[in-house]
Amino acid sequence: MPAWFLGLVVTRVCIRGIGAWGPGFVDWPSLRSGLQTESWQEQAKLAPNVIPARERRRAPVSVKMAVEVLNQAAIAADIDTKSTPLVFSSAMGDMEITDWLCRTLADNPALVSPTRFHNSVHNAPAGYWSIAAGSHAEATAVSAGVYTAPMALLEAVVQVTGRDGPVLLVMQETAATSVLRAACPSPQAFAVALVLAPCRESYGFAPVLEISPQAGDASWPAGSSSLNQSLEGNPAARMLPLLEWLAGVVDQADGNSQFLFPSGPQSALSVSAARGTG
Amino acid sequence: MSTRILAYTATTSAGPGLTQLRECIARRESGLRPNDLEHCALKTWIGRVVGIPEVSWPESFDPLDSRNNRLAWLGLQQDGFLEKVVSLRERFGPDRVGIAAATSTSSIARTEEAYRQLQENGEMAEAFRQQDIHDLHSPGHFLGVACGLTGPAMTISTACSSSAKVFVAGARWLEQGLVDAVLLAGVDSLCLNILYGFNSLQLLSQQPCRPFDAARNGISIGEAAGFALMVRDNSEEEGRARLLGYGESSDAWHMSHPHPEGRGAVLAMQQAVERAGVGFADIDYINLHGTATPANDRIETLALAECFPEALPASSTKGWTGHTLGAAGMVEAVIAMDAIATGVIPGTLNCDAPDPELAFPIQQENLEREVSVAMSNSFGFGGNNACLVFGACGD
Repeated sequence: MPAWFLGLVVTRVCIRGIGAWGPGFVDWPSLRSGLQTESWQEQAKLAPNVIPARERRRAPVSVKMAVEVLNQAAIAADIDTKSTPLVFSSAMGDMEITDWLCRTLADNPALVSPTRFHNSVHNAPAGYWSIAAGSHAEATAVSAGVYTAPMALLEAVVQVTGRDGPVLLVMQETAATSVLRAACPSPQAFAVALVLAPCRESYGFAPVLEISPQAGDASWPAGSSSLNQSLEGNPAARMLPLLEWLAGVVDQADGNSQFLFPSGPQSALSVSAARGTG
Repeated sequence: MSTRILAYTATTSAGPGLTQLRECIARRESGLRPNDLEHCALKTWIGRVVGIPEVSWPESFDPLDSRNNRLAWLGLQQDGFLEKVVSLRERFGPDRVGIAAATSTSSIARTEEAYRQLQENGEMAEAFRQQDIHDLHSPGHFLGVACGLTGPAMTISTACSSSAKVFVAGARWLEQGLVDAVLLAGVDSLCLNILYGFNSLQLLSQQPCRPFDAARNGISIGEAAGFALMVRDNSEEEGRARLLGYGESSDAWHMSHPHPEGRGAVLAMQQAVERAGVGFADIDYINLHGTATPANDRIETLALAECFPEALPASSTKGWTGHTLGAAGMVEAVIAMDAIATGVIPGTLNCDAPDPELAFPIQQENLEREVSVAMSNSFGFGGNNACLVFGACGD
């Protein structure tokens, strides 16, 4: 439940499951290990088997990555995927498809492909997830430009509070091609999924986040892992400092940590992270 | 908890602002025209908003120049809407007014143009290296700048349900105290992506669209900027309408074809009336999604037949405006709210002979009748569905 405190809105949620995909890792355990040890895996093939093989072949990177990390997080959290709402987020949408469509439109628009077109809608990953999971639950797809990840986190937290139940959240960005690098210099694809839920006694040691939107600008928190450099320019990678804390890399004496993420040109999202107390 | 809409406006091919929209509806005059979009050879009809290249705005907006943003600015000028936003900003503080914007196109027409004018080295030319233009948040960002707002701001992009979903997101922000007011927006503009994309799916008609008509054969694309300003229902401000309830669902069926029984649509409508605390029999008017594709229209009537115990005025207004995609939810919410305000229910333009295969009767002619509760449907690609229920204020 939200608490009114000196006009601030503070909401608590807990993280019940995490999924991840990016350069050198294929899930949360391998990301966590990489963040702890700076030892990274060979890049595996992205082939989420919850998408039927025929659809998987035609599915774009943005779809495969989102569905893969969502599936990982959902399994880790042991939630009912048929009834859990989804917040999908990406600043730019699938940049490979945008690039292909814009080139085709410039050269020969008659060659625009129907499959590529319906895969270009911002919520395509959400649509594919709902089909793969057989879920009639509501899904949204949001962007807030460079502030996409914190705003998506806020939106997911708002939905957890509103329904008093779990919500799936994906924060991701694909890699940019030459032309679109000018708009978003994302060097490599990266996605993280969280299952956020109200804090209840039964969740044991699940990490707890206290979220509070604030007025005033802020600077992006800096992470310590090399991944921050290799993903520099990928808007979703702004969450790495929080992931480092979740991996146990950054730790203050009392096991808690405080982050202030810019959420707009003159607004910020305060995120206090704490270990669950069992 | 219901919320209150203090102001609303829509600018479409049927004209800038509410007066023109009402006149076009009353005169049964479509805003559609034969396609005359530059670089587009498709034989189709479009809903073009007149006056976009002529829009003038503060020079400080120039770095954000795009058709979509110009259309947004044009839309803000109508019906005293911007003044209303500014007055709430001054009352609550800029950080306490949020922005829930929606779009499917964003400013991609500008990206398309950039690709037509690449540098010799294949990179984006300098003139197009604009911040906050090539991403999906272009409209949300522009509105923050244009209205001087610094509260939470995000852009929802779920195809044709986008600007219905902003009402839901905004209502939650209000309910949870994140903001004291929220600017809701739907802005979509004509671009090649959309026209050639829908054409490749064989969903684009070569004629003006004919929702629910036996001879319907596809959509007409339109552009639009629609806005609503929403606060909590216990506010002192006088409202134009209330958002009584909402429903959202996924079809879990196919990316570009609706669930064959309209399962997701049924769920969304059921949720909306339940949340509104009304029954289906209490709905006085429903503005349908009614895109004029053979599939959507037929399936939507299946869903209506399942939900509504009796016939009621049910129409699609896309014959006037075209399918405005990311702005459709907002434009049609405005039309639904305006039916409550004016007691004029728009019929279905271009529906001359309703398809006998439909499972529910469609309102063809305009109707003058008191409307206390109005519903609006918006169903998007990926099976993303939203339904809104509006009521009158002050009773």
